Amino acid sequence: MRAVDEPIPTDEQLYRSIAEQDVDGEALDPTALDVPGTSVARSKYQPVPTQAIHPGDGGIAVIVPRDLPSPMVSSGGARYEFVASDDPLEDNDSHAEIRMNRPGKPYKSNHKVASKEFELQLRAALALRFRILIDPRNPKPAA
Amino acid sequence: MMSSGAATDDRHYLNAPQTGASVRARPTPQRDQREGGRHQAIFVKYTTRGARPVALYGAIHVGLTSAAGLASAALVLGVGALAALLAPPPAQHRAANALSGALATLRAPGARHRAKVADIAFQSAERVVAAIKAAELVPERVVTTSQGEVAFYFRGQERTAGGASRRYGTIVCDSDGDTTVLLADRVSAESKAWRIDGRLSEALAIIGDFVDGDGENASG
Repeated sequence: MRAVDEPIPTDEQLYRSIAEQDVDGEALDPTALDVPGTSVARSKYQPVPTQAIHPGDGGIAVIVPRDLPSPMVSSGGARYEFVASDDPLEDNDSHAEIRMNRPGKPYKSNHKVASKEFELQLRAALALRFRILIDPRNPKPAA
Repeated sequence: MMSSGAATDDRHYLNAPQTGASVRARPTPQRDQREGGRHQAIFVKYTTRGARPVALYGAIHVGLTSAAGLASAALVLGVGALAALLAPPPAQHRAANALSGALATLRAPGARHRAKVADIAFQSAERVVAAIKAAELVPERVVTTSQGEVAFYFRGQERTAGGASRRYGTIVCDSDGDTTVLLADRVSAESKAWRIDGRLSEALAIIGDFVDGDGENASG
């Protein structure tokens, strides 16, 4: 397994494997994304986006770190910021995550966001920033 | 209920206090001296159980002094009732039945994300389907998610440049047993979410107003 390679450049493409059920027009639905961390593949280590498609999916949504949403604050005052974190795995060198971090607190993959309502709003905000690179309904890479 | 007798105005607005609905009635029955009878307009509304109301409006001319008039009125009512019984289920009813089928498919062993979705999420989803059957709002899709959720998506007609629905609402039933609504506007980037405590019909009404409305519910 390779060493952690951070920071991820702000213009590096990050691929998210998606299925037909995740797409509305050319937009991504919020439930296509996970909280507190959404798995993506770094283009630096996985330059062929089609190879980042998971079995049973069929498409790819893409984002670059500079397009991540601004920090959001819950009604209870909990602040979350979106961070692209390198996270290589034993069987997947290209793995990274878009995490919803609480500033000053260590990231925990089992962290429960302040509330379910706020969690859905975080996912909706992040979903807006993705674009569809390979449409799972018509799997040819977009121009 | 219609007022009778002494009104001089040719229109009557009857308010039903229980529902707040306003009913407009045609002229109060008046004696027609020339024909020796009276004219009355009756608006008949049939509904089929659990379905979008099917309205059959008929104006029945009843001649009080004419047996033939009564017979023709009975015939019209009979034909109308028969037509309502024989009519195919309205689109709303068919869609709700399809939704039940979709939910059963998502719940089947081997379905996408099935292992991550707890039974309690499906039980909540069944309550959502029951509420949808009683409402006039049909979701565009129902999906399961890798977070262990069942999500119903409702889309507005207005589209973004990329062809997505500008406004959407989703009801998310999670594996903690909670049901949450999200309203989002892809152009303004505003969203609003709240947890439902059994008020599904109210939530559906809000979603319906939002997705094809002015989107004011997504702010604040």
